[in-house]
Amino acid sequence: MQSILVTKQVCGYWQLFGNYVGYGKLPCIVLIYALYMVTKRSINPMRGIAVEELGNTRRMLVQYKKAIAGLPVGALIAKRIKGHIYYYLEYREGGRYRFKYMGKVLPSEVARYGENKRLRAKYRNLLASLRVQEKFLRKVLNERGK
Amino acid sequence: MKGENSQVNFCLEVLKRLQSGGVLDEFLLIGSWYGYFYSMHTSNDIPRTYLKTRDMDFLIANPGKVRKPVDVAGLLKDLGFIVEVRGEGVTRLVHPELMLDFLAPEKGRGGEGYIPIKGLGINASSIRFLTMLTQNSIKIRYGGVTVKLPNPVNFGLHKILISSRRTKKDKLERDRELGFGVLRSVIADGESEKIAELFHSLPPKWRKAILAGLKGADDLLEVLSGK
Repeated sequence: MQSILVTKQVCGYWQLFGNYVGYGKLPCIVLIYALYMVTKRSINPMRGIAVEELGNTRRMLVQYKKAIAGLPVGALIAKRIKGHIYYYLEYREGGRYRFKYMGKVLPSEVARYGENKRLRAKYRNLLASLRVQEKFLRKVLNERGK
Repeated sequence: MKGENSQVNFCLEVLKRLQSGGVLDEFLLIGSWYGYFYSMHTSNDIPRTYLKTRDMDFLIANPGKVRKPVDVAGLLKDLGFIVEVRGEGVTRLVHPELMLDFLAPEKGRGGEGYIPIKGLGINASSIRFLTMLTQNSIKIRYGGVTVKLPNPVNFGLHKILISSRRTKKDKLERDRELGFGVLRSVIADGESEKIAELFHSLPPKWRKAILAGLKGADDLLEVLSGK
């Protein structure tokens, strides 16, 4: 709102000047408004923050994808067969679920698989929120023009 | 994008983790989040506190004297933080809500690089002028945590000083506005002589840069010339 008022004021002066020296009115207004917006945008802290945050979000998207890819695939499934517990690694391959026999597994290893499963779910959620952030920030910046 | 309250709550959760890990006392909270926590400490109005970003800067005053070894990344792993190692080797902990940066004062001359903080398993950025923030720090209690902050006089003058080195205009404006706001709050508390005292104890080049940064803020210039 303030920018519009200032622009109107500047254009008013420029119009007087334009009338005096014989310039066309409209090109002068467009020129002044464009110059004003360029100057204003270069020192607008909100825009600066949005640009910085978009860069951060994009970098994080890459990092979280790498972090997910770095986690071992599959989940450990316990099956009780004839009173004994055996573990299988369940994972997807080509759209199908596969089970790989792991035999008897140490409790620490079971905990490690559980921790990886929780982390993968967490990272996926965060990846989804980063995508929302990226979309939002792109919209904010596009609305004002890149 | 989630709301501000969710970000503040998440920030408090991170600080609580660091506190329970016994490591929060090693850090001074600086950067844009300073404005938020300082505004909780003072009754004066600090403008632009809403312009805090996701960057949360922790200054490690004594990088060589960490009292309790703690794996900082491990403390925050289950919250979803991941470790980012930036080009020059500096460690940063990132999360969609917050990004934790660790900074340490640069000692002696040389290029700005990193300082390994062995007890914490991180490499902190080594940055000039930060020694100024480590003197006379204050502690505030908020949301169940006790956070160490730089003294507002030191922080305000430091913001003005570094604004003179900024190349990006929007960052320069943000630094100046936060610096002006904090210094005006100190003046409102009747402690303007402390600003003049610190200013006159600084090296001449720093004083010159601060005076250049205060251009247009006549009230603050008057305080500095009042000695």
